[in-house]
Amino acid sequence: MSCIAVQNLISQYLDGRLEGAEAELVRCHVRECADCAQDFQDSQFLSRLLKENLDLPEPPKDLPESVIRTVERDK
Amino acid sequence: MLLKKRRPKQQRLPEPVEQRPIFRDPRNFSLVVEKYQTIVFRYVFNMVHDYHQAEDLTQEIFAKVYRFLPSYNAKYPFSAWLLRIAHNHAVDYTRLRRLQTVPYEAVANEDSVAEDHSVFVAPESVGPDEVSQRKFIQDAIYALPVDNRAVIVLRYLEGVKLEEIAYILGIPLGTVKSRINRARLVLQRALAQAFLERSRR
Ligand SMILES: [Zn+2]
Repeated sequence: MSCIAVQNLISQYLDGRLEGAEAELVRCHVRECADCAQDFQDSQFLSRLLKENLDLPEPPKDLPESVIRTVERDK
Repeated sequence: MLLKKRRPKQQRLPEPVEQRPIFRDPRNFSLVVEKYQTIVFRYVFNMVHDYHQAEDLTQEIFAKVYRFLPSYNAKYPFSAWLLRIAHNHAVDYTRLRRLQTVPYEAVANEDSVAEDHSVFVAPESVGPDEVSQRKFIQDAIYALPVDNRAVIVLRYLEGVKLEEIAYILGIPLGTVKSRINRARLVLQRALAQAFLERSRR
């Protein structure tokens, strides 16, 4: 597995979205490759930092209706 | 769709169903909005850091998406295509706003509007120390230039693949990587500084 392929999968790995075999590939690669190990650590740290500290507001309830109104008006 | 290529296994969307003629009916298009509103709204909010502005921009973005729907070619996931439109729209807005009135520093530090909104009231279980630490970290993130914040948010918050980030932002893959590294360094330095100052008090 290439480094870029591994780095693409790291966030999915961290979110628990990877299946067994693929998760194992990521784990193996990260154990052997210093670059990807660093990326793994950084990803772990920054994902948590962002998820725990950024405000992630929900969109307003009537958003879909407002969009449809705009779209119909512009038609 | 003749150009349909085999896509990698980790595909968030199996088929570009959103492009089906049925969604040309505005009433059905609202299903598309419902499905993607959270990711688009969240992204835009993190770009402009203002709830009401994010609301207006998200509406405009989906109106654009509706118009552009026939040009979506399924080379990238629908969510990436949406985020590309959202990013361009949000960036156009921030540039315009900066040109019109607000000096750069004010844009970078503007967070008073968002704080008025009830969504941002901290849960009662969170002590005052945690609130100010949260604020510290937010300030560091929102002080990043929009381009750098975009890569950080896409990569670490939304977990978007590097190639898709390149497509969303319209930059080469190499630039994505260097921008992520730079943003990461800036953020880590800002945080280290912030924690150092706090521990001295
Ligand atoms: Zn590697």
